[in-house]
This record gives sequence, structure tokens and C-alpha cells, in this order.
Amino acid sequence: MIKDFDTKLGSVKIDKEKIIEFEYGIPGFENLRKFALLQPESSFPIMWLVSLEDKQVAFPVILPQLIRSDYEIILPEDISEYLQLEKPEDAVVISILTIPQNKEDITINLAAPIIISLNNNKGIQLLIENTEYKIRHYLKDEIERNNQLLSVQRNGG
Amino acid sequence: MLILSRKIGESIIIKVGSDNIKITILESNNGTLKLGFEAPNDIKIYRSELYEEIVNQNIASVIDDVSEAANLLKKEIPNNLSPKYKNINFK
Repeated sequence: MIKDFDTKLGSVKIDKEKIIEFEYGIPGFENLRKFALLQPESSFPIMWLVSLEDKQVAFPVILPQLIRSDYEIILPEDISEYLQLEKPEDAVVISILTIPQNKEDITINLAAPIIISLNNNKGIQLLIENTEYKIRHYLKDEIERNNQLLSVQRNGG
Repeated sequence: MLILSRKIGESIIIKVGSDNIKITILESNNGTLKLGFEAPNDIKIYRSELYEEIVNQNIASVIDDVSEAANLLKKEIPNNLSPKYKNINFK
């Protein structure tokens, strides 16, 4: 069933099956439960995680592996059970971007990614502790690191 | 704010619905307390400064327009980059 929702990106048609439910809320927005992940062509590769309940709320997000190709997380058992995940392809992992006035200062949150289950359409923002991932990584540093990493991979075979 | 005094080895119980969260004072060393937590798996326990950092970062991320940032990324990220989707492992 397709319904119209008023969102930050205007009125969008969302299939009921594509609604992502954040039962535990997103820290800072605990009262909002229903979101959708949108990829307007104009904002590619940035996607939008838009609230379907408060049209003021939308997060710009990106696949973290576009910025850090060796990004990897380990899901605790209770989370993979909750999201009914059996294999990595069962989920989409996204990172929230913070985009200030000065575009030099864009940061990506690698420590608290959002995991969306394609099996039960539930989402959760997970805190990854005890890794090198931080809540704020400067995008320009990450892109530079990643370009170096990719060029080493290419040259090293 | 409820204020309670506890000695080392003593604990408190917080009851949330039918869940019990037990916090035990394990150790005290130069003003640093070591706490032990016993709680159901779906109760997440955070250091408050870390949780508040996530909250503040999420709030700062809400924005109207990303076109400039998107253009920047299109330019900076190599076209031939094929993302690796299998970036989750299971415990």
C-alpha cells in the first residue's frame, strides 16, 4: 500500500513495506519511530533518512564504505537477532553526515552507524565501542586516506 | 534527583517495567568508582558523555540542503569505486 507523507524533501510516496521502524528511537529523536531511506538523484551519493512523522527532521546519510572502503563492524548477537539478520546482505549500514556552513568541516559518524534490516524493516543506531571509529571523522581526511588505500590496493594487486 | 549512599559491594536495583537493572559498586580508587551492571540484553548502557555526543551530533546533522556537499562528494569520490556491501560481521 502506497501512502503520501509530508517530509523534509516534500511530499513523497512511500510503500508501507518500505517504512523503517526505529522502535528504540534515534538518540535525540526518541519520539520519532517511522523513517524512510530516500535517494534523490540530485543528492547522490548522499541519501536522506527522513522522518515520516516530523517533516522538520531528516538526516543526510551515506554508505560508509564509499568513504572508508575497509569499514567493518561487528554486530552483537542481540542486535542481529532483533534485526533478524543472517548474512551481511540482509542489512544496509549507513553513516550520518554533519554538514556545516564550511564544507571543509563536513564530518561522518563512523562510531554510531545506522543499521537497517531488509528482513524486518527495523532500524537501530548502534554505538560501536572500543574501535578506532569516532563520532566525528573529517570527510576530507577520510577521502584522502581512502584514496591512498585504494591506490595501494591497485598497485599491490 | 534521588540520592543514595552505597558502600563497596553494595548495589541498587532500577526497575523498568518488568526489567531489573542491578548496579553494583565494585571498587573505589582515588575518586574513580568501578561499577558493575546486570541488565537484560536489550537494555543498552552508555557512558553519558558518549551518549550525549551522539545526541548532539544527530541534532547537528539535521539540515535542509545537501546539494553543495553532494557535488563535492561526486568530485572527490572516484567513479570506479564499487562499494563493498558486506561490511557487517556477526558475533
